[in-house]
Amino acid sequence: MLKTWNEYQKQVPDDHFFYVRSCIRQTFFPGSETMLLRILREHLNKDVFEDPRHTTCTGIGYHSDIIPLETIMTVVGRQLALMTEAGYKNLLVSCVTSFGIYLEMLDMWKHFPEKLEETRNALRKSTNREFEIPESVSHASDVIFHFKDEIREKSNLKLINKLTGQPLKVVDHIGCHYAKIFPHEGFGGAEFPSVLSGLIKTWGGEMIDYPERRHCCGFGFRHYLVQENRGYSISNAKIKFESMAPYKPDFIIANCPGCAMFLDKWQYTLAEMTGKTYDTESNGIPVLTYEELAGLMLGHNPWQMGMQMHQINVEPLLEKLGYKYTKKEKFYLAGKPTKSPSACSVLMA
Amino acid sequence: MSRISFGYSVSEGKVINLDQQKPAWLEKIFELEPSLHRCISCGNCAAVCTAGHFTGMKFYRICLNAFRGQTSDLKNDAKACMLCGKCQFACPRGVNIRHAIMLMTQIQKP
Amino acid sequence: MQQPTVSIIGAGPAGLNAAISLAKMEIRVNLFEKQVKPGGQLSHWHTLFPDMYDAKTLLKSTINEISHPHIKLYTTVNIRQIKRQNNQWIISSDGNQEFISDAVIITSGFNLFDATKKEEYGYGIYPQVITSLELEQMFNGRREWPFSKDIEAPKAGFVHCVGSRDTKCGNNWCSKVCCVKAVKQAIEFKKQFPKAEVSCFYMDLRMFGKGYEELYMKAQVDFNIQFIRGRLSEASPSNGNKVHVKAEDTLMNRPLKQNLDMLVLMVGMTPAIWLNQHAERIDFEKPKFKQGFINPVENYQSTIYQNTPGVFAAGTCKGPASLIDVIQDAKATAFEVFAYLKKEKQNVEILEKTT
Repeated sequence: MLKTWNEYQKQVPDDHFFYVRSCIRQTFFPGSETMLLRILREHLNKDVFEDPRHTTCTGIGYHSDIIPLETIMTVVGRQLALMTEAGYKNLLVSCVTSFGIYLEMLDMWKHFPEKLEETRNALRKSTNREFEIPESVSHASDVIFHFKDEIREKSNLKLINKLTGQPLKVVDHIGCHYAKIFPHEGFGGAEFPSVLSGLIKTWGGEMIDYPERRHCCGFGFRHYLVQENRGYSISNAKIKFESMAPYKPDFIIANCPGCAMFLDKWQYTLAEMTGKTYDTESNGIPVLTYEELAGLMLGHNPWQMGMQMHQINVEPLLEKLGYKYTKKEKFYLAGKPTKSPSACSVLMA
Repeated sequence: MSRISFGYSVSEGKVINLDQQKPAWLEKIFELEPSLHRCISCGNCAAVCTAGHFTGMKFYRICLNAFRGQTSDLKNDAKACMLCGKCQFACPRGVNIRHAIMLMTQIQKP
Repeated sequence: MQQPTVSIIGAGPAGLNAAISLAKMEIRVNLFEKQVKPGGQLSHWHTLFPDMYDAKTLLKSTINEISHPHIKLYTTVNIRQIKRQNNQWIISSDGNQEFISDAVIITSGFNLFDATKKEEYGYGIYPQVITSLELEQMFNGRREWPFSKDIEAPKAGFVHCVGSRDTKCGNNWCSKVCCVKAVKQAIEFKKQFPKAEVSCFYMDLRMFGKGYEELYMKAQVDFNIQFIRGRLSEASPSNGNKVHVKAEDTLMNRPLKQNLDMLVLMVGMTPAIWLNQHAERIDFEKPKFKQGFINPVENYQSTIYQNTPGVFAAGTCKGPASLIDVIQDAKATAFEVFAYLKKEKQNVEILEKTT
């Protein structure tokens, strides 16, 4: 028996996943979800099924008191019905909010079986569908963690600064709903999350544990949905940046749609508001998703992964990695150059 | 500073940072009135305080702020005192409150 | 009838003092200790609260006293079973030795709380985080300081109630001694490093014993130790070999943070596992352990264990207690044992006359 969360490992299935996407990730990190599918299918020969009829889990609405419990339970029931119909038992979730929602509903049904019956009835009446309880629920970062050694073996890249020969310094940020609701569902539990730090260590980088590592990024739904409340959100992000800045991190890696988005975008906003950036070159600290990093490990074109959509330019990081990429392809659409966005006044690169 | 109005602003945290060096004048106050260290925040001083009924002045809070190096309001808070000395009769730990208050009101900066 | 014999299990302060008192009353004692040397937890401490008395001196004088013709000390002996036979008790060791005695005193003491269970404080993960026991070893030079020798003004924090008053780790009780121990250790640290900055993070300051409150005031006035009312929420690594701590300063009504060179966890007392593991091997009438500590028959006769005549318990195996309380309890228990043996002897004599 393991004594400490520090060593805690979660069980992740080896194959046959039913994949459910995030509502917002394709806007902010447009290549990440496709990258996960390509890594699993093309590089690791895994069976992943996606159903185009899958919808939002309504988690954002649920957390902001717009969607009632009965509705979200039925929506979750419908997604599980699609999985049951396709013959899959392992749910693979792209979004940390959805991941928390699925786990919460499953846990609730376990403790209140009458709620499960209620959901089955509602779904039957509305769509004539039936569903089974999944055998496993994995977050997409769990799966990348699970296959991190295979990815390293297939990779020519090491997370080393080519200019100095030193390992790249990386800070991780774990979405609150990844393990803070159900610690057993995350590698390392809530206190010692290793799902991203494990990737960094395995792939040759140096993991930085900084004081505000476990602090929320500020994405909290109530904080950012109403414009007047966004001051809370950005102030929380600022606490994190101030705490990580002394370590001079080369990049941030996050496993939650909201965290990756806000850690990326708030750096620009903070620079506009306060004139301050949190790296030495005033470029900002690049923020990567775990799929993007895994994609780089496997030699994919950063622009095809949509990394030009980041607020913080990733090119300085690609230079440090000695990564081969074509600068001029950055703003290309269907093989033709497209108009590039106007440059920010504050973040230089 | 910002050229763009985002409709919200960054707020500074309320966290007390004990890493910050205490100002020399504060250390001097403790040196001149070491009985300040005896305070245990029991609140007896505030319970009997005449000024506190009207101004919110609480000596034990002034003391706490001084312990934690939170000095921005120290002088103003101390000035609310009427120096009646009732608190000093009440204090179970024998803090020389009036002298401490006198020292605080004489701070040059801030 | 022969001179009666009493078996005492555990040669810590309780066992040693009970043995000495019984020997003074002309009763023979078998004193069992599973460790190589007698002394129990006392042998780990450097100085004692509230008077900074040297622990080694006390231990030495106590051990000198047990070289008494009536006391037989058995070290590295692990007691496996205590079984009743008529009016006597058979004590068997792991090495299958058997000892017959007329009464038994359990003085098996306590274990220190395993600080790795409070993972949020990072014990065993960050080298700057140590236990109160390890700090004593640093005081007496048996262990290195967790910070560099070049640091003239180290910053240290003491966390009270680690593994005490905490339902999250299942320990609801107050360990009683940690408050004053922290104050003592903070003073001792300031004596070794006069320029140090020391903060104590407490929930309540329970200065219940003689001289404790005075020691607390001394810590405030003479040693400028900062007392912060609020339980530490977490410790995390920080730049420059430091550990970053967060707490709520509940008197200031604000969160608080600090970078420290050393974080001392005041680990509480937990029941000696020995008793829990071996409950079924002890031939009592109604074996029952309250929270793992030995449960007395009733609070006002705490020396008597359960309803089993002839079995007694003394010291911290009955619950957290200070050393001073343990010594007094052991001496009182010795008297109870003496009275019990005297009564038993009378019963036997009456029995012999009538048959």
